[in-house]
Amino acid sequence: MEVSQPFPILKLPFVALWNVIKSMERKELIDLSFTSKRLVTIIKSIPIPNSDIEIGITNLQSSFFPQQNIQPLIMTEDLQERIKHLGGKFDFNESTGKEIIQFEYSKAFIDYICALYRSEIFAVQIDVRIPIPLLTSVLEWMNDRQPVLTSCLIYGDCKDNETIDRFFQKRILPIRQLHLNLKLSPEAKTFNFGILEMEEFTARHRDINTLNPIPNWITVETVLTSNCIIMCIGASPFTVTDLKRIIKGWINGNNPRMEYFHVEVKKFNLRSLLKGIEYEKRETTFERMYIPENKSYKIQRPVTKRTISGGYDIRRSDGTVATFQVLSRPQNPTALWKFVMVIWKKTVDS
Amino acid sequence: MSCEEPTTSPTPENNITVVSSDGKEFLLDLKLTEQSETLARLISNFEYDRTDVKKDPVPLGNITSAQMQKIIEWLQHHRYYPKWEQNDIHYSTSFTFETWVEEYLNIPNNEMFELLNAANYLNIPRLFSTICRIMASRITGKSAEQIRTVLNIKTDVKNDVYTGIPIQEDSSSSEDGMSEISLSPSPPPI
Repeated sequence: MEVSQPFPILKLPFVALWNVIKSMERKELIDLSFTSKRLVTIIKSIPIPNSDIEIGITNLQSSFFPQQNIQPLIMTEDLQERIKHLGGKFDFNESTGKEIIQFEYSKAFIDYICALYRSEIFAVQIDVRIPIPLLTSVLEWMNDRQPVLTSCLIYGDCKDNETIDRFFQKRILPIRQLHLNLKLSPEAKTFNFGILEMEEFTARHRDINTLNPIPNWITVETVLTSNCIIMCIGASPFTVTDLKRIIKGWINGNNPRMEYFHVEVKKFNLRSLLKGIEYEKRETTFERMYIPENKSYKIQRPVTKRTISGGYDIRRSDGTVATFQVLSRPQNPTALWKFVMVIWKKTVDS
Repeated sequence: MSCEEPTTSPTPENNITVVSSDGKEFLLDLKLTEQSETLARLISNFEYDRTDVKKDPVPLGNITSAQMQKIIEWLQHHRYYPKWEQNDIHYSTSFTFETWVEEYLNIPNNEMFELLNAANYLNIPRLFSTICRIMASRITGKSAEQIRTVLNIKTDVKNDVYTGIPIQEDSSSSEDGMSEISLSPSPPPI
């Protein structure tokens, strides 16, 4: 095939030019933007579909890169050269560490891509093993660069509390959806979450069942002081007393916008939980369905539809009704029990 | 056969005649013209789908006979395809094409450019979107300089983003290389 003849893209009618550009994958579009300032202006004028920008902060490179699909773009020397000539000012000297250099290049590159797509960073994935100074720098940068982050995932083997504590200490920008997917060490201490104020908070932990002690990574105060719409907590150290405090706390006005609460706990005495709580027991034939409001997040949502059969209805002073139930898996005695509470604000009777 | 060329005989009932810019006539089955929004709208407006209406040849002043031949080949192949829907597959990163399409569009970039303009003029969405995606894929993995060559882009940056080496300023005016903005193809003159 003859390929030497050019395809004069700028001579296309504007609608055709838009469509050629909209057909490009992210990497092609970024490469195209490097060719001419005029094309940068044109690209910026086009509403690009699927322009959500995600970044992954990993331990592997001690830096972070804009993600394209699953594979991160690797900060190669070639890419650094390109970034250098995008107009960014880098004040490096001989003593500047490689980690800082990569961080500065990555920042400049992400800012360039965000400007090109006229978009903010939509989602961030953080490997919990990244160096603390890098995490601090990233959070300070994120706090300054945009008003809100839609989704954030923190994952990996969590050897100590430092990364998570630092994350919640340094993070100022609001996060709409936060998901922790951690492997906790048995010695893990209580994380300093501060006040969890986000639409969705999910914490899942690997390799924890009733045969092993559950670390005290979260306290009931964290739940009582939180202000989440959906909260799903896996493998918690909560006792029956803690669950009772959560129920009574909700009745007394805590967690005002909570719609769905799910926590995994070790076995407990259900009679002790119900003692002292005013409730109405529902028959299991009485089914109600919870469907959360449809929202655009990056991370898979912990609940999309939930049918509650029976349960115990409780009522807050403003008349709002919630139903809680405790679920076990009789065929698997080592499995944790699940405590589920649904607040009936947006419901569809089945 | 749904397409023949050229013809001067009385127009058969289910066909219309289109005339390319170089004066060649093509007899087009009305079924094929459904894929072109421009032709379909024209046929509807002039009621050329009625047997009792006299059908004048439709001049396509922007399309050469070679391009028309190529387009008819496309229309023939997609004759029984369902109507094209502008959905997410257009933007899918895993968008792949059938072998026939790959072979059909295995043409030089300049011919691809002309075909895209023709598809845009006749408003054939499936062909138009396919060419857009294939053109986009032709710059994959190329350097800025290689992309400039493929897409005939005159640089307006001072330093090459790869090498940092100053780029020779192009002497042409800033309007050079720009096309007139048109949001939709002009209706064919009748």
